[in-house]
Amino acid sequence: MQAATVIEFPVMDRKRFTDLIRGHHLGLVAYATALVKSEAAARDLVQDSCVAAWQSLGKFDVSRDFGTWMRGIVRNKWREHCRKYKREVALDEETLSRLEQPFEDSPDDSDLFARLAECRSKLPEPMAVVVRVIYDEGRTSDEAAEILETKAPALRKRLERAREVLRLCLSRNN
Amino acid sequence: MKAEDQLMDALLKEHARKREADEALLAGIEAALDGEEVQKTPKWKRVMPLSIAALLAMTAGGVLMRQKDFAPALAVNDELESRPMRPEARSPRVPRSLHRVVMKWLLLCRLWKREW
Repeated sequence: MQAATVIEFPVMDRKRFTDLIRGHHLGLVAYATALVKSEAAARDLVQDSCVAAWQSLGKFDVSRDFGTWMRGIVRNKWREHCRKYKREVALDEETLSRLEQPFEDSPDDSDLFARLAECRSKLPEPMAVVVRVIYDEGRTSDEAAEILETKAPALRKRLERAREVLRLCLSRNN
Repeated sequence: MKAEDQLMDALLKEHARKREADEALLAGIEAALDGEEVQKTPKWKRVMPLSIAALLAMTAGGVLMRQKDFAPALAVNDELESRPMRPEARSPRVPRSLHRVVMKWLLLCRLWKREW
């Protein structure tokens, strides 16, 4: 007779919570940056969301994905932020759903960034060069345009297309 | 920049930083969580001792401040009470000491009300 398989989930204590945050914080900051358009505000949003998550830890179903749950909290905190500062424009549900796609089924940041590296390796050479010069070398678009002997608006357009290709690649990987 | 584009921009920036943990942010989160743990003591437990202490201090202060003001009135009251009462005016069921306490309490209440 075959014994029933019992899946044991680790107890969610402070240490486990901190470890999970450590494993997800970079993706969460990126996600929050897309919502609030500012890295500083995004970091504050992530910090507030972590506190809110800790307070409502009892509601977390350990069998669910922690990253998805945290992004839900970040979204709720961002909506509060939108209500508080009415200047901010709320994104529609379709856009929010598109923002969620690159993260889906990624257990943590390391998996997400490994997939991103894989997608980057598949980029066509002209796009890969622009991404490398702008992000890895930290150049401005004007400097990059000069190095690559192209016009800045054309380079920015190419970079935008590269980001779109990468986003679609991450979403397809799911 | 569109939100999706902003997301990829942020992810690429993090990727370029070799995905190092953002220790400053993590330390901030730890500190915020520590603060929450301290605050997790039920509010009534934090407020109750302070409330009782404040109430006792206010009562003691009030009694000390009012004793001087009430002295003449209490003296008059004592003087009135010390006079022999007519038998029919005294309730046979209420002991004189209790009657005196109640009278003093009513007088204090009346004086207090007039004062405020």
